[in-house]
Amino acid sequence: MNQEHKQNLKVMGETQSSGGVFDKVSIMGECTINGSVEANSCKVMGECMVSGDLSSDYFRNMGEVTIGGRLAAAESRFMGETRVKGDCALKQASIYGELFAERNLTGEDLTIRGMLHAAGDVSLETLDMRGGINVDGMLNCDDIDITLKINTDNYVNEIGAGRVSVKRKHAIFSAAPTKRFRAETIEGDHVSLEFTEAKIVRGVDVEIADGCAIDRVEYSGSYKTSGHFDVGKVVRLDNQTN
Amino acid sequence: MEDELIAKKDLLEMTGISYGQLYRWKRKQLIPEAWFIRKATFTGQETFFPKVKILKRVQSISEMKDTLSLDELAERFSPQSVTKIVLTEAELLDRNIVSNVTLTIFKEFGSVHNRFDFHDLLAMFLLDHMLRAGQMNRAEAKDLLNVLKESSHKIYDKNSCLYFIRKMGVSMVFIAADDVALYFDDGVKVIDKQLISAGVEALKACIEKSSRDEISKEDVQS
Repeated sequence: MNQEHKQNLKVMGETQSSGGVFDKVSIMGECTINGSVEANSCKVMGECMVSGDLSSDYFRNMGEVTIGGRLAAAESRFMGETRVKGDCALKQASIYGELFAERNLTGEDLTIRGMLHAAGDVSLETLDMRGGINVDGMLNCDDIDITLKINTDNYVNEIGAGRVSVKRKHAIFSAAPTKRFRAETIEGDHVSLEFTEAKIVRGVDVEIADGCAIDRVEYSGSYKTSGHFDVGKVVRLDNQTN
Repeated sequence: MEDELIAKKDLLEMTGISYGQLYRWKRKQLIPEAWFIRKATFTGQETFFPKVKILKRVQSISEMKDTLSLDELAERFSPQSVTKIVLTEAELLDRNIVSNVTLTIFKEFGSVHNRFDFHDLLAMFLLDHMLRAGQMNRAEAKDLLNVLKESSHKIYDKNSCLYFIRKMGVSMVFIAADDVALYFDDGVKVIDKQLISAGVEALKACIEKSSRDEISKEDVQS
């Protein structure tokens, strides 16, 4: 990296910029950037439109951000509304607001307390989800923890994972969600589901608990059930090594 | 052309790997996206793989994963990793990667520099192959280099295929971005057809082998 001094971009009020390389970007008003932005840190508290790519080590959005190209950020917090038209390349990320990824999203650790909408595939190492999730493609993640807390449509087309756990939150004061988590296929080594609707569940060790509606379960290790559930067909695959 | 396919559950059973491993390898792009072939079966959606390729890949990953980290492995398999390779003219000839004739043609084509990146190397490698097989003449070589120069960077990760056809003495070189079936009229003769990905792998193997030889030669000398 070159050590030359980079400028900061600070916007209060309304302005337009043509992008560039900055140290710190902070936008408290409204800013339209025609071009791409590269920064060490980027904070948006107002409204920001970027026509090109945005890459920043640290990215925090508390307002409204629309990115026409790619978003790349090592550490990111999405508290407002963020729309990314290109791919999202994240590492550590948490969503407290809403993130619309119109293409693929890659990352390491993702925490969702708000809502994630992804039109493409999502690939992660760990996912901790207690808000809402909507993935039209495939969710490929080593460790998936989903707790259904808010009454919203949670849908993932395809899940591929090492471990998947879907649970419903039983709160004392607030009503429990009434909409099930939905998926077409769920595959994993350890799959434990509650309040889930899926066409196919494949795994080594499969646990089906209260409120599930699964058309077909294929397992090769163990199969456990509890509570009220509705499973169409259960198939044990034999001869599997391990 | 159709490869034999293997269902995902059969693959896991045969190789003894777990879903977690398979998906982790996919995430790290050790297994190309194009190999995941989704098909509807009577039990619902199932994923299939080209049998020969996937078994070979799983075996090589399993063998190497103890010595190399997944990222290093990804580097090795990734079509993009090769773009970092740069060789000089002398290295090219020393290591016998392409012939002198090919190099001359390539230089006539317009590159005056002495260092070649992987795009150049791949173009030369493919050209060298065709020239050696006696299928192509010098004028046609220009066409080949032209199409590769224009589009090779777009086609690395895909299953693209290079065609060299001739009809009534008029030759044509083109690239299909996917490995699809093409139907020509009777007069067209397909002289050569090469999968770019196969070319990339062969070239990579060739460069790696020669680097290893180089190292062992140095060991002997010292």
